[in-house]
Amino acid sequence: MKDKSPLLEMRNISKDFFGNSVLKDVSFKLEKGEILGLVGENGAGKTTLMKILFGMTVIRDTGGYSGEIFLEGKPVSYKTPFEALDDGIGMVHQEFSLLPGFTAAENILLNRESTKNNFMTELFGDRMKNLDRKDMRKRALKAIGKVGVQLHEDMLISDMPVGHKQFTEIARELEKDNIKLLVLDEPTAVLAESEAEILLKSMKKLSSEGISIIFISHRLREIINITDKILILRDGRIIQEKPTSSTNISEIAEAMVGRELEVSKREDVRVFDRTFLSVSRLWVNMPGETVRDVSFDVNEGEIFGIGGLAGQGKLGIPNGIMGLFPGGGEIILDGKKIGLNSPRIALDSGMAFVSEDRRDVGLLLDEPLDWNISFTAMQVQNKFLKPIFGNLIKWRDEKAIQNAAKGFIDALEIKCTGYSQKAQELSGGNQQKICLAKAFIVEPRVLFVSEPTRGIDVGAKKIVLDTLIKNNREKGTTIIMISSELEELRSVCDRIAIVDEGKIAGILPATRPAADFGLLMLGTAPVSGGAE
Amino acid sequence: MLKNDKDNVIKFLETNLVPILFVIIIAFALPLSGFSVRYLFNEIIVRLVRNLFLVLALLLPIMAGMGLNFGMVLGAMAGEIGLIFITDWNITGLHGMFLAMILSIPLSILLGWMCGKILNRAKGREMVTSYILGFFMNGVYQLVVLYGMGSVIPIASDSIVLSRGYGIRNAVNLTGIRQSLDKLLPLKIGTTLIPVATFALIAVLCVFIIWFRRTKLGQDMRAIGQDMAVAEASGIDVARTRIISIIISTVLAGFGMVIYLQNIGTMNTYNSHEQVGMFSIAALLVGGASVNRAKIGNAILGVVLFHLMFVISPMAGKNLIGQAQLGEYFRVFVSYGVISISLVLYAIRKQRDKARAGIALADAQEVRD
Amino acid sequence: MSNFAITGNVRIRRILIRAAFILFMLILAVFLFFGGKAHTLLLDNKTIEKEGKIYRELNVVEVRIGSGKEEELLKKDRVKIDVSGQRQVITVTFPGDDGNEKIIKKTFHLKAGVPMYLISIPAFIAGADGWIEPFEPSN
Ligand SMILES: Nc1ncnc2c1ncn2[C@@H]1O[C@H](COP(=O)(O)OP(=O)(O)OP(=O)(O)O)[C@@H](O)[C@H]1O
Ligand SMILES: [Mg+2]
Repeated sequence: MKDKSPLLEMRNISKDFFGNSVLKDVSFKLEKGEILGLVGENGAGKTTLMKILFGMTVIRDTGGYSGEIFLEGKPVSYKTPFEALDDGIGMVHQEFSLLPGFTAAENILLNRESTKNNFMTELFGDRMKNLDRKDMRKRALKAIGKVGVQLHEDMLISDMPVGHKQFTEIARELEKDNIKLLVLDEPTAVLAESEAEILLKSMKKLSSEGISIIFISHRLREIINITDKILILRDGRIIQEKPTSSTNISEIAEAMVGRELEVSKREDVRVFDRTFLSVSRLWVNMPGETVRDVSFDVNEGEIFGIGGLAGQGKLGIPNGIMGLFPGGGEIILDGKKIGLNSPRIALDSGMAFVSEDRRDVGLLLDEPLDWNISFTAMQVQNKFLKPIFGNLIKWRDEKAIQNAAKGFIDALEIKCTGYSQKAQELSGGNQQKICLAKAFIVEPRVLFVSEPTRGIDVGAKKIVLDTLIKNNREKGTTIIMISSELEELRSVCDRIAIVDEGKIAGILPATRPAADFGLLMLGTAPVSGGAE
Repeated sequence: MLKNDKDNVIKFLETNLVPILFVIIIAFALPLSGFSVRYLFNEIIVRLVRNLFLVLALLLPIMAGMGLNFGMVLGAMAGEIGLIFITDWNITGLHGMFLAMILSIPLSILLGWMCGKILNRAKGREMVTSYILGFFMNGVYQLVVLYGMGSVIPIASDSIVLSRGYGIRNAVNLTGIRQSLDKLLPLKIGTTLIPVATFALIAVLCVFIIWFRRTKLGQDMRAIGQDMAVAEASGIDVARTRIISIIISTVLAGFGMVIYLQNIGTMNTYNSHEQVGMFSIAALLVGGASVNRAKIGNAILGVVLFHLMFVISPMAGKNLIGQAQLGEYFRVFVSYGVISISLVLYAIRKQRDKARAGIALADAQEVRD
Repeated sequence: MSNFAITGNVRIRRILIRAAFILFMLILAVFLFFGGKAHTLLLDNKTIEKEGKIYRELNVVEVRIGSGKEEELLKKDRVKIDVSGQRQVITVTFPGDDGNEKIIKKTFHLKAGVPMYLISIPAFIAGADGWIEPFEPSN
């Protein structure tokens, strides 16, 4: 193996976006069948590095890059992703690129459909071929099988929970039969732990079949578990390159952030006296996250956690209450009944939601940051609008908008060139922080945050969680936080409910030992989660 | 549960606002007009024969996400030019009709290609662009037909050339091919003559459209209609595919125009195509289609409702306020009205979608259904 | 993209098929042109003189073009008939010398460039060469 040239070598790669240098002299090698973990803070340049490899047009449009790339010893420089695809490189991007109105099978085989000849092809060319739906289904199922999940090939993307979308995209890459190198940019960020588990397993299998993988993730445990080699980027430079066997999570984390991470100590559980939000007999029909019968009360000023395994329904709860998926039951907020099935009613009654599905919806990518942050508040609450001529015309108060944006950029340590940068140009994790800022600025009475730290690096996680706590303590916002990371819930919440099979298995104070929650997750139901 | 039903009903009303409005108006005007069922049935058959093919020509660009193809008037012009030639050459009957269609093909392809090229430079503003393009090409058409024909382009027949020696007359008599297709396979039901051959041709087009959706090219168009960026990223040649969809639409519009005019029997050289473009689009919208979603059923329903309205409205107008000539004004007024309403509704919906994306919430719901 | 690799053979076959299709369309157009070309026929039952010979008009004669309507021409009648297509069949029925009805049927071709023809029935019956002649209407 070693005497041959490596599958991939990137040598002295540098890149700047109009003077803003994001990659500096990055070099590394990747052998056949090897899994390389690529880690670094939000904005460290991981995605950019992969975009260069994959020949994404943004790179050329923003002035190209310097350095060399060798694939199996041959120098390559892709001008379009198609050239990379032809050479057997597949990439699953941080953002989805799926067609919502197409089924999983149609998306997996997009532009690689199985076709049958007919007489028209002779006359009008190959594109007049009929689609061979049967064969497409077969191929799609095979690709889905490679990922190792249960995914209905006829399901529309728009009906899918976010994890399934991710699997669809991965299946699309695996369907290509010449694939040698697979780049996965934070594929697990939208997955629950059990789903991620499945993905990791199939990655192992793929690598044993000789496919090399570059794996980007902020979940260091995954990185440690699965990779052969770890590359740490900080501010566009390689800080460390080590075989996985000779390092550990805390070493990586420190190298990433460049300082020692402080462990936050949680306060004691607080006592509340007033019920603020009361949910009873809630059911929600969210595919993959069905809620069957859920009742709980949340106190005013409390941080209430909802945990549980993937597919048990924890995500369905906020989505149902916010009216995004059809549901029924009774929601009483501050003594008033709130109608279901209407996002508008939910918003108007003072509830806000940061969805787990941020990558798909949420940001106006072509607009500047300040606009993105203030947009909802402006729409829903008429904030930042100065009335002129009595109340006839309302003018946007640019100054106030900019100041607010600046405040959040500082507080959440959003890495950007300023409030007027376009959302599109931010790294994935920083885009996510913008989503949070958008929700905070509305100053909701009840804030639902679903998986708030997904895609956020280890250092920034604490900032995000601290901001949640600060909002809760200073503004008195009642927060309901849904997360698949129990430790995260235990560090910020007052009480935690565990959801199992669409029902609440139990609600415990957050100070109880982790094992108690684990029992709740496992005790009443087998650990199927639709996954194993 | 109940709430959900209510939402669905509202959704249904919202998407079918225009057809429902038309059904209501017709339900009121029908008794006022005093027409017999037999007469109306007859009229509906005639209108379907005349217009359905043209309306169906609009479907493919909608599928490819290019909205209502106002550029179909280009195809209509090509069809008219084919008809001018066969009239000049004195080719009659089915022969003449099919020859006119064949003659229109190269011209339609050329115009459609040009239109598609231009629309590719105006992504997201296809409708306005194609509308203006239609205007512009109308000017070119007039130049060619009014000054070029009989001078540069040889036209021999005195009956269609203006007395000054060049330029085509305002009205061209198509007696030679008049209803040649309609009368090919006549079927009498009661007093109504059903032109079986024409319907057969329309049926062939419908089958083609359905079949086309299942081809690779059709799939590519659907993909582009949903998200151009994603389609492009998957390697689909978006620009080319969009041009093809416009070319097909233009060629079909040319055929449709020939069928339309063989039924009527005279050609209004300088106005027919303009009207046809507007009325076809209005009819499709009346059938419940929207800028990004249209089915064959919308086309059929639209032609029936839209033209039924025009058949009965003059009579209803006369019986109600003693004015019959209101009919024609009404027709134009309603056409523009329907088109404007639909475009405005579309714009609002788009805006709202964008706002929703901003709110990060409801968009998910919109996509869902 | 790559899944539509066209091998040379297929390419040539396609080019041929397409060329054949375009050729077919052209031939069809030509066929439609000639087949649908309209001509006006003037059926004439008058005494005429041709190349020194005199052909006498008939008292009554029935003429039919193709499968069209049967026209009855009396003395000095002239009837106008529109036909389309180049190949036409004329059927003439008239009382013969022996008092029995006689039928003459004949296929003839029209030139595409000639919109109007004059057919002299007496000359036709006599089997004269010039029974059909292009006709220039004098306005
Ligand atoms: N198109 C662009 N124009 C300008 N700057 C850009 C553009 N794309 C990325 N950047 C900048 O490049 C830097 C690196 O971004 P990149 O997306 O590579 O980060 P990342 O390591 O993938 O982070 P994350 O973990 O948050 O996804 C960021 O500071 C980002 O703002
Ligand atoms: Mg990234």
